[in-house]
Amino acid sequence: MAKILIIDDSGLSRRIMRKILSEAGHVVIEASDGFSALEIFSLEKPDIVLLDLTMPGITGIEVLKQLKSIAPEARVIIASADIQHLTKELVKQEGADGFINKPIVEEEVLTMVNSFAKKG
Amino acid sequence: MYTRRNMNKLSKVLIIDDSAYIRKVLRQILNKSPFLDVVGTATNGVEALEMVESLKPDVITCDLIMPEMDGVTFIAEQMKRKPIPIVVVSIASESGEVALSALSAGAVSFVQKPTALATERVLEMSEELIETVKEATTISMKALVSQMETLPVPIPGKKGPRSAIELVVIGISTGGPQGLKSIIPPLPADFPVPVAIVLHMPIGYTELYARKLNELSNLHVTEAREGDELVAGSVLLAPAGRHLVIRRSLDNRVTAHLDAKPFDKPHRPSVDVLFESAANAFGEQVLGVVMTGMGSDGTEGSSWIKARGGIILTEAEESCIVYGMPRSVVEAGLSDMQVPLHKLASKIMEII
Repeated sequence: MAKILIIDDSGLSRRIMRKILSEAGHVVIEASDGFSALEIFSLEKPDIVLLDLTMPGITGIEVLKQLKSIAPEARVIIASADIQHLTKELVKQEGADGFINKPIVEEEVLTMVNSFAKKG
Repeated sequence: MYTRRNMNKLSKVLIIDDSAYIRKVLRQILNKSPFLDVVGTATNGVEALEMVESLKPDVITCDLIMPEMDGVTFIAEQMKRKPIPIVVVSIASESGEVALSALSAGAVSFVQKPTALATERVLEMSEELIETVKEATTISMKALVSQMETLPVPIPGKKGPRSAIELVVIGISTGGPQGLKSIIPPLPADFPVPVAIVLHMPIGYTELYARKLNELSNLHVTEAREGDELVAGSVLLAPAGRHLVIRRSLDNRVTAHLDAKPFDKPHRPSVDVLFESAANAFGEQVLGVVMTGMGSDGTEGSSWIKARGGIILTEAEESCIVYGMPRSVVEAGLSDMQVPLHKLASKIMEII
């Protein structure tokens, strides 16, 4: 079981993620924009972060940089519909631990989350 | 994109109704829209056929019960001469059967006329009427005509192994009554899984439509009632005005539940609500099909089904009367395959 922070501006995306992850026994917290995400992150100290890239305000890439500078040990998984190779390279350089394509598929999400949850 | 061709231009409307009062009210309502221009009114079918020739309207509203030539006869005749989008404006309680015949004859959709045209009731219907008429100007008459000309071919029963699919859910709107006739009747009597459908239709028509569809089909088609069990061979149609929700109980029985909630959906029944409940009850064992219709109902529901590992088919643009709902699903990256109407039933058969 892990504590997971979902950062996504789409309420539907968050609902689907929450349902899948909480049914698998994880504790889920949510943020709808980058700014509140950073605040919630420092208060809640989640084990894993699921991060959308395209959001109003601070972009996902910027959130990723900030997260990695506050807590280098944080596991950050990018969930995005942007499948360009360049984007994947960029987030990897910035320290992302994994990449999930949107629309998401339950199995893929759980496999990735569980692999990090076990490693602790 | 041809399906949106007329959306922002002024469309010419012809009103057909034998009541002078209704003609006046409809003209007032429709002229309120900056996109519609009522160019004429006719009192019966015979007069209307002539006026169509001279006025060349883009869309027609048509009453059903009229002297000289009634609505259904007019629609059939006009479709033979030159297909034009026709919206039926009539009273459900008096003419349910006739309204369905009008659809078979080629009408696009229908709006209920309030029985007593009290001032506030007229205002209630005016927005719906304007939207329906505007929507009618965007439809593909080519697709509608080719659909009316092709008779569905029965499909043989399933040979070979079954897949993991345990439920088929379908969402459909404008062009729905016609579209479903192309995919449900061809399915064989031993179709191995239940089917649940949301069709956007005015209140009062779904029960009648389910009965009509049942007469044409090998499967048992009914309007869904509270607690109906979903078993192979059954096709449940959501009643207009109620959401259809699928539930799995602790003893693994799967039943239909009818609900007024959620209230925040633009449609009731909503395709999103049905699809989400199906994904929650059946996980990856769901096949969702999003067919012709305006708007984007079904896109959120499809993302629930896809997230659970299920399959989504969308009707291809070429056969859609209105390519709206399927387009929205495709653009969200949720469609596994786009299939034209005449191949949809056999594709469903192949997948399950």
